[in-house]
Amino acid sequence: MSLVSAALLAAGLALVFFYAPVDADQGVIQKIFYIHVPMAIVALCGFMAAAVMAARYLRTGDRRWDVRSYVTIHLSIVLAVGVLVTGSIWAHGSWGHWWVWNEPALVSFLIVFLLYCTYQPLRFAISDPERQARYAAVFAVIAGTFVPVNFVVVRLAQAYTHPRVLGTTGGNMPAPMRLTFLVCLCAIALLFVTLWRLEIGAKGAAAGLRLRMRE
Amino acid sequence: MNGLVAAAYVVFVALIVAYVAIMAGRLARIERALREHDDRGRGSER
Repeated sequence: MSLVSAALLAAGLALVFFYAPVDADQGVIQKIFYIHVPMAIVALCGFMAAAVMAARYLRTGDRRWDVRSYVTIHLSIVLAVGVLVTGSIWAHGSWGHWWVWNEPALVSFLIVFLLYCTYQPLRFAISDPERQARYAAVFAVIAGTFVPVNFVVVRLAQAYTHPRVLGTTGGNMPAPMRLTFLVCLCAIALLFVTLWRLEIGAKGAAAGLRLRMRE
Repeated sequence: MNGLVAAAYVVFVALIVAYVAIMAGRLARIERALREHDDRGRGSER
């Protein structure tokens, strides 16, 4: 899986630099969007998936769902850092500012990011593992439902300077740009799954080790 | 402009490399601890 993920990522990067045309309006700076937007989509989907996993933990009491939810949030935060940094770089090149406070898309994403940044300190502030998992799951479910609501509110807001990549009209990207974007989206989604499995594997091995130490 | 695009992609790659390196380090630590645990177990059996 990691090989497929690396190959797809390499293909995506090759398409970005050697196949996708330079945007007539924005110029070469637009090429940032091939990683910025997929990372944002995957990170937000990750937060919502973590909410579903947390809900499953609350329903079943199976600790594996709590670990899955935790790892998904952890990875989504890493991607969210990438979204904020690449977005700032794009904004600097395109608008001449690293950050624009009156742009709903930017501020709302920052709020979501900061909200999830409180997840880990909150989780590890509780020493009892049972309570820790339960409180973290409740947090993940509430924060996870906030993500789509936040997205819809931003879409309804007026006065955009942030471009809409996937509008209600289906977007008007030329075919080579759309193909490149879709390959990058699949590559980053697959990379997320690969890294997720790697971290879950590490957590499983650590739990196994703790168990053997106790025996 | 080219420099900014390169910087964005470097950030992306650096994030992934850092994440994989941290995970690889953690796995190596677990593996080492497991080996030490097994060696101790074998030593006490003797």
